[in-house]
Amino acid sequence: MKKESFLLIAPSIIMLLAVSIFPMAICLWLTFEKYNPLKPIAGSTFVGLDNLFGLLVNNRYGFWDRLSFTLGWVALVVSVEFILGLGAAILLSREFRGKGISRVLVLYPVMISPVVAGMVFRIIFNPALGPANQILGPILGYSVSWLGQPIPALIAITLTDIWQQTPFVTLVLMAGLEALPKDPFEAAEIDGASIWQTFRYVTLPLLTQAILFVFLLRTIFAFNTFDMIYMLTRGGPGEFTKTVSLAIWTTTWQQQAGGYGAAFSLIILQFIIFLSILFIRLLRKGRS
Amino acid sequence: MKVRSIAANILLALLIVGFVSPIYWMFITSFKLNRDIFSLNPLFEPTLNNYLVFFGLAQLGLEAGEYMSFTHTYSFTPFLANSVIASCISTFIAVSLGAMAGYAFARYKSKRSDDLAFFILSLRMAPPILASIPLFIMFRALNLFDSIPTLVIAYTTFSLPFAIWMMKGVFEELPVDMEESALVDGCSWWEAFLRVALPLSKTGLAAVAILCFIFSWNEFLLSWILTTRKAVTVTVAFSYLITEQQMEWGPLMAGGVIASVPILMLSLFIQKYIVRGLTFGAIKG
Repeated sequence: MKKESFLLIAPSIIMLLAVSIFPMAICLWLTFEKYNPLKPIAGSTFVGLDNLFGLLVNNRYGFWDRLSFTLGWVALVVSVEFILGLGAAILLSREFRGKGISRVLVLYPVMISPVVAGMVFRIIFNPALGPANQILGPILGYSVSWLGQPIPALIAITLTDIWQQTPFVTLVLMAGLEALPKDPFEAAEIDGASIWQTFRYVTLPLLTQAILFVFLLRTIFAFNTFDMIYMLTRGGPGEFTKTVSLAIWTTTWQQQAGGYGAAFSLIILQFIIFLSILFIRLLRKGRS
Repeated sequence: MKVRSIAANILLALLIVGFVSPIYWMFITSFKLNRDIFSLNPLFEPTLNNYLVFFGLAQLGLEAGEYMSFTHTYSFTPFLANSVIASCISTFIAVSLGAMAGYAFARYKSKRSDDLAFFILSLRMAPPILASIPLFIMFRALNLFDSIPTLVIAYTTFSLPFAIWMMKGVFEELPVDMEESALVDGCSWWEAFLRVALPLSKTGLAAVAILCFIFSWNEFLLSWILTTRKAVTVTVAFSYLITEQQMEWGPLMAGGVIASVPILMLSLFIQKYIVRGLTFGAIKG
């Protein structure tokens, strides 16, 4: 590496070592410690593999339940978001009046804070008088306690996530659709392909890469979801809507088991690393 | 064909209504009196009282003559100030360091430097909850807990990898000719970077800065765990006001509007870069 490139990169590396790598090292160390975060760090004791063993073998803090719930929920939201988002992207990439403003409107849910989104949906799902119950109440004949019952709470967090993240899928796939070459579509039209055939045999294959990127990024970020669920249900009722991020938080701060929390997050990190490697592989292949 | 395109337009209209209505709901609720909060009737007596309450300039319900459920006044102004200050400083750090490193990654390419750049990108994807425990320990040990520097550092953990990676992309797209002729004219490499490359990529730089700012402004988890009183940000303050008891929906929605409007305005300026930013350069919008 040349001297100047070293000089340019060094400040960033030092900063990243301090704010990112060093914290990860602390987390790794804590994985083998018994640590109460409310007490000074000096009071922690070495416990070896107890934390990892407790989580993986004894299912402490509901590790496997939280993990399987999260995997299922991620699969659910990502697939719904993908189907809706792809539909919206196809509809939006046609030529029509009001295209510009529609695109701006699609942008908004993605950009606002998940905390604000959670807050707004907290009103929408208000059990007494929220719009959801005002609209559904007459149809169902009773009012749903959205955030207080397991299945309605699950529906609430799922709908909120779908609302906020579908536009992300739409934006990305729209950009992907617009970058496609025109010729294959003209050829398909000349050959008399139906709309479905064009979609299945021309659009989808050409869009594969954008679709993979969307899937990976959505999976990674859905896996990390915290803010929105915290605002809506705090993982409840009971532990029903508790994703891994919320479980790490309750384990660490409410149960004061910092070592378990660190071990938990380290195991989750392995999933994220796996997905990130896939993403980066794909990105690298696209570059070269 | 005609029928089909009408059907498509109706479908699209439904989707857009779905995307927009929660934001619309937040917006109109922020102008409602307490008694109208849950009314679906689009006609109501509008009020600015919620905004006054949000900034601590009025007490809830006083002006409207409604019954007073809260006797205290609070003001969100300090929380807004914390969010603005911390997000700006962190953005400044991330973008200045990121521009330097990104430039090096773009101009002095090698297999090893590429590996390093991809590794840095992967840091952006780590779960924030993972960083929360060690950062908590570090800041308590450094006596920085619950302060603006805490927030700045916490935001930099995700802003810096993002800025480095995105600036690499920005400089890669800049033709190298101008810098080369500057070097021939006797500029040092540092001057070529600072006087030539940087001004030429100011649009990309601004877009990256705006995205870093938005991510920091919207951040919740780390600021919530790492602050208690003095350095509470807007998003954290919102979470404190969401309780099981009666909630002050009007001021909360006013807060939601105040916290979202700058973000929505900023994202309009960088519409072209948003897809690229959100996909880490994988898809060029």
